[in-house]
Amino acid sequence: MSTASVSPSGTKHKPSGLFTTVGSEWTKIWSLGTSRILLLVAVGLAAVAAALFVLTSAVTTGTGIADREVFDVVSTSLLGADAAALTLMVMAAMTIGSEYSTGMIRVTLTASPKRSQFLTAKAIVIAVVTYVVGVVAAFVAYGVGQLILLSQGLDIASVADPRILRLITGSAIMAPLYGLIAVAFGIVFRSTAGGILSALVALVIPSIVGWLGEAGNSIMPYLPGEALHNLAGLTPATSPYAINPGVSAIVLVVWVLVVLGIAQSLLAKRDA
Amino acid sequence: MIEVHGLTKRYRDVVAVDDLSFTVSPGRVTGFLGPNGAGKSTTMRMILGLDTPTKGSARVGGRNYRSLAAPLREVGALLDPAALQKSRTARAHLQWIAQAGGIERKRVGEVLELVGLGKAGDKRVGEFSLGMRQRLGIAAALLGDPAVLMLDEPLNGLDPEGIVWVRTLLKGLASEGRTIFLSSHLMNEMEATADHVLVIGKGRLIADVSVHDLVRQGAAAQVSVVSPRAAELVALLEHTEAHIVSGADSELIISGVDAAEIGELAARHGIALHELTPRRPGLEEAFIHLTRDEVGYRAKEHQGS
Repeated sequence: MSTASVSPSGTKHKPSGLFTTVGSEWTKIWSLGTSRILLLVAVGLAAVAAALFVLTSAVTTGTGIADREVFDVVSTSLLGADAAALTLMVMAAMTIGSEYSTGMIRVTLTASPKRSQFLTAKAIVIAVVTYVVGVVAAFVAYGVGQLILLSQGLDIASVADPRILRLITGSAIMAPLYGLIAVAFGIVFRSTAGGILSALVALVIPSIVGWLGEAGNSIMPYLPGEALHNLAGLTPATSPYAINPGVSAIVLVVWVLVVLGIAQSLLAKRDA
Repeated sequence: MIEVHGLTKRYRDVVAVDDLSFTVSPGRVTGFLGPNGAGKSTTMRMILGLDTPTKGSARVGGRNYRSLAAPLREVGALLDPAALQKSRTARAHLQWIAQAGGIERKRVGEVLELVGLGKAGDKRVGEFSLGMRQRLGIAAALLGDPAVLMLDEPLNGLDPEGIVWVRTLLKGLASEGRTIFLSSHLMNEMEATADHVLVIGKGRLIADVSVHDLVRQGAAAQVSVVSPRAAELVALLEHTEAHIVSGADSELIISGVDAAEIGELAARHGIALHELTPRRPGLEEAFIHLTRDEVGYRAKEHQGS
């Protein structure tokens, strides 16, 4: 073995920083067969779930789509986007959980010893990938709903309507929101299951607070679920949970920063 | 150059690494030896900034690993060849590591060729044998063309050809002036690979010697004697520096005195010897001897050749 070949043929190196770490996390997610499959599953599931919820509207809501506001039908079809968001949340949890289960996290933290930089890069990539795929899934779900309306000779909702566009793009935020919560708690519990379960807990908290009745009214809009509804324009102005969409956006950002902060504090001090 | 000073790692009630100090010099292959559980991997993780020491420090190229601006270009490490996500190809695995280290893309193909995985680059690593994963891990460690290479049990799972390949590679890298540090729990593996060894047991440094000295120390220690009057010989040896390592009927293994002394003593008392053999134990025995009683043997500092 000639040792001369050990050294690289050229010596052009980029300085490593947040940009290169983001590139690395990007490669990681796209080169993993399981995550690519789950991204496709998310979009497929959005179509199937949208069709199911819209077609069974008469059973589940007591009103057939012919007798419902077209906005409500779009909202029902976007339950498909929620199904996609849950799939993307699982994918997000797996990207970090499998690093812990295989021990690959040590390779990651050897290559990127600045742990806050690694977490920031991971969060950026997860947020972008889940949001982009979430938006695609939301448009697919909306499209499926519209096709069903068309096939029954009913009026359809145009995306040119700002309310509809806000509903579609806003609902898609569910994917990065719960995806980031899953990544943060995947780090906290160092497992995929820990990430998924924590995101599911975050998802059901509003229902639990709902049981409190009026006592819960003041905190409900500040929980991730209801803040998201406000942002997407799903909360009627007359609802006790209604808040300004700008405020709800800030609420969501704060939630994400808090859970990522918890993950970072543990990541920084714990042995890998 | 790796410098470790008073490095200590304590978990609840277990001391995994106990006040360890050593220097791994460039230009030679240094073996890190000890039985399983001696603290080798914990020490390596602390050097890489993965685990935080309870006390003490570890520096690579004069700096704490986590403060290195371009860590992969300073240190190449292989801790666990199985630490990868199985559904990714070998090329993609190296690609993300290269990107994280700011290393250009074409280097991935070079290291794949270098470790003999040129044709397997587009296979999923889940299909790889342990030997192929070791090669992939070594490829990852070489990505940044680092001055320091640190490998945890790199010979595990390799076929004989692979072992010879790793040895040749590491010796070549050392001769270029790089620092090569590799661990093993098998002494005979090191005999043909390392120039220098650090031996640890129960987290403490037992020896810091050149392989040459270690073999000689072990070799000087014992003489095998077969005599029909072995019991009388044992009685006579009690007045000397000798120590009876083992004695079964007519066969004795003696340390502390050399074969000449034993022969002279036996001749003076008219004791016939049927066999008188200086034993040259391999590194393996020297190692077992050293680690049998970790606390009894404190570090002897040798500056090996």
